[in-house]
Amino acid sequence: MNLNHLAISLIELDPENLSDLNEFKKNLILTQKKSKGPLKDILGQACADIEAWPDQDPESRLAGIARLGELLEQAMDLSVRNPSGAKPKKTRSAPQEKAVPPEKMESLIFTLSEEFDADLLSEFIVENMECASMAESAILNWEKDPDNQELLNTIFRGFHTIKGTSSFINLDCVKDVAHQAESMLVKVRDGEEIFTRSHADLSLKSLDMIKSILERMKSSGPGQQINLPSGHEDLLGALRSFISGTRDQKVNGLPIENTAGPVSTASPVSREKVVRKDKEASTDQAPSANQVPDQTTESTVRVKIDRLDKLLDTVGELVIAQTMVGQDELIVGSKHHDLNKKISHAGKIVRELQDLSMILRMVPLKGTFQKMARLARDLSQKNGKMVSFMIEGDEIEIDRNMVDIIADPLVHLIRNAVDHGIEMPEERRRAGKSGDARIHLTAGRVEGSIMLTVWDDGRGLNRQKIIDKAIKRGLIDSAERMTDQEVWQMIFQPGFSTAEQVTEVSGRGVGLDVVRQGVESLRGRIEVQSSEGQGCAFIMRMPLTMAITDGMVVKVGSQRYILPIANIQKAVRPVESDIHTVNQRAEMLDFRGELLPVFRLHKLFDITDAQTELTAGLLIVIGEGQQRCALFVDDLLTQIQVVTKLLGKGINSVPGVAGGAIMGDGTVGLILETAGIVSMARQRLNIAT
Amino acid sequence: MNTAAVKGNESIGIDPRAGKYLTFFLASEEYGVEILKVQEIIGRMPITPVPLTSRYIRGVINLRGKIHPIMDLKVKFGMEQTVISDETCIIVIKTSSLMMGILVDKVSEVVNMVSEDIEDTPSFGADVNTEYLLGVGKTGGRVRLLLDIEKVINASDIINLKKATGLENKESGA
Repeated sequence: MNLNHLAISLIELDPENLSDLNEFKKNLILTQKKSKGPLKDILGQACADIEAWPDQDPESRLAGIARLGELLEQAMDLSVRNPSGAKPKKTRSAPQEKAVPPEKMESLIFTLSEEFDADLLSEFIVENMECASMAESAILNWEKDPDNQELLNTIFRGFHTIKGTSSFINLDCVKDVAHQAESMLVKVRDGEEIFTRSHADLSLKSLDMIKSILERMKSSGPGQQINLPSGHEDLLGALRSFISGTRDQKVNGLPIENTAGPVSTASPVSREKVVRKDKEASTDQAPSANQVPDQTTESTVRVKIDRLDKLLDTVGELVIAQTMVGQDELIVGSKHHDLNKKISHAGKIVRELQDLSMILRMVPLKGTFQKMARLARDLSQKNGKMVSFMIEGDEIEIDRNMVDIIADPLVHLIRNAVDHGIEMPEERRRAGKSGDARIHLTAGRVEGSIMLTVWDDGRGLNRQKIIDKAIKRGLIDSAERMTDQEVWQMIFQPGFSTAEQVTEVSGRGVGLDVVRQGVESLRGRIEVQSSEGQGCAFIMRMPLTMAITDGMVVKVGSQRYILPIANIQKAVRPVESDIHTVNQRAEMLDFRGELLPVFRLHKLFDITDAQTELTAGLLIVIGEGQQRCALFVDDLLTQIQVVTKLLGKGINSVPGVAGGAIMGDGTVGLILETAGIVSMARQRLNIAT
Repeated sequence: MNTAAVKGNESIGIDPRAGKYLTFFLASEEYGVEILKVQEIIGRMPITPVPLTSRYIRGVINLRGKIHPIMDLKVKFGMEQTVISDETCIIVIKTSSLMMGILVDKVSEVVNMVSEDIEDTPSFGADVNTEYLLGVGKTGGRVRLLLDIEKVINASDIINLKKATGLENKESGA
């Protein structure tokens, strides 16, 4: 607690509320004890004054508050003139000594209260993180629609809830930020000020600060210390000066104080403010009243993810066990019609249960999309570009494990769009386009998979530039017969960037390669559509869930493997004339005029009882672009949907094997990883030749 | 066995190696693992071979929805590969870091070893590695090699143990 805090809480003080008064008194006494010299005397006087309050009626308490305001003002004047006397510091544990070394001022430490248990704290963090994200998305929308009172209320509720809960656990560092931000927005809500960019900026910064404090709290427990993020004090100062600046202008007609630093710009406590107190109190309560109907709209239960996973495992087992019962020869061959009916009924329920349990893991894309909106806003502001960011389909749900993985590619694509795709406003106008650029992030469901599109109406891809670059890098000799699509695909090569200059955000040539890898790790594909000068769209298609793999069971000798369908392009039964050999060692398949290397799975995996005659087996074309090849197996058996699992510790990384899955008969099937197989096969070929 | 149990009650807690052991056969040799490390014993079940792994990894099994690797202990100790029979069992071992099944020819019994029953592993010179043995247990006229199963599972290769066990067995036969 420093003088500023005292002054703020004094303004808020409700003379009717004894517990508030006591809290204030406690803080005042604490501050008094820590201060020195004349400051201590003034505060001592204030302490003596406050001692008498509990016995007084509210009326005289109100007068007392006003008196105290004057005293505090004196005290603050004093501390401005003599800052080292009682340099206000935002911590309870940091030393309040004179002449604090400057480096100590940099990272302030905040001690978490010991009174609360770890569960409560972690719940608090989760809840407030949610509040902060909610407010953040409302702010972003509010920028587009400043007249929307409902959005404003949402922002309010966010800050208000954070303020309330954090003061409950004595988390002053968060509470202060939330409080100041709320105070700033009161004016807008009451129509005294109009909403500006600075309001939004400060609100977003406050949310960032709150989030980063919460993030730091995650790794510490009750009674432990956290380092406050740098800039905490600056932010509070900025908020305060923003509030007092506009307030002074309006109320007192005084010029705005521009000098930085929390002390000099702190709002002077005056009787005028004390009188205003009633109004502030009432505006404070308004959002909490609004909160009630909102809370009832959706009720959720938080479940630990490992419990959820266990449930899914068990349900998966149940499905297999049920199938095994149903396929038992006693049942299949039985004449007991009733028994069969009962078993198939149980089977239906089991499958329903499986569907339900799969849904449990799905979360909407909303959170991810919201982060992207924020990113686009910040980046375009930084670059001086005007961008309107549109989101569509953020209600679509995907597997929660995919959410984090999907975010990285999106970040890259949006950075690219803002940084390279979108032109500067003047350039756009010269090209006959609106100065306000558009970026659309859309999600949609297509045939059981999800399609994400990042579209911008910027300059689009430049075919010639890409070709030049590719020739320079030795990827191609000439691009005479290449289609646009083939040219575009080259931008996903590692180290490929046509950006002329490296900027802070992108242009280092790592972007699109990473994007493709991210999408492929989700068993998805990425495509580009572009027309020069009109814009560019990146289209990603991936399965809705990582939990289930669609695969084909392939037979190699007595072994069965699962090959993900996403990797299979074509299966062909070769005839003699399609096969060509190289030096009697390597084999090639003539696949529609294209020569693909043939890799024999039985050789790679040392399976002895497999088919060795190519024409008697199947060749499966896998891989993309230069990685394309034909994999030789005995036969394709059936299509299967499986849940991917790790092979267990001890044999975690087997080249060419992505993991295992429990098959319908209860045994383990191995899921093949085509990229691994291809690179392994090439390596062996290199060694052999 | 009975006398051993009585003795055990008198002298519990002296030797950290004392306690209950699950014993099993690998070929003709009898081994023991601490019962506390044993998660469960399962009969033979289909094992899916995993290509390109060490020879002593027999494959993986599905145990109630989780996949666990199976180690052929005999291959690990440099003996012949286990031939699956009706008596073949998988002992599921749970160590602090992982779960793994070990393939054994036959599960024998649970014995209580007191410190008097346990002798330190004799030294066989530099070429015989006895690091994976906690000691040698002698009860009821039989010799059991007490395995430090965590070391066995975590170690990449143990061939020298075979020599040690071969010697032990001759002694026990005499």
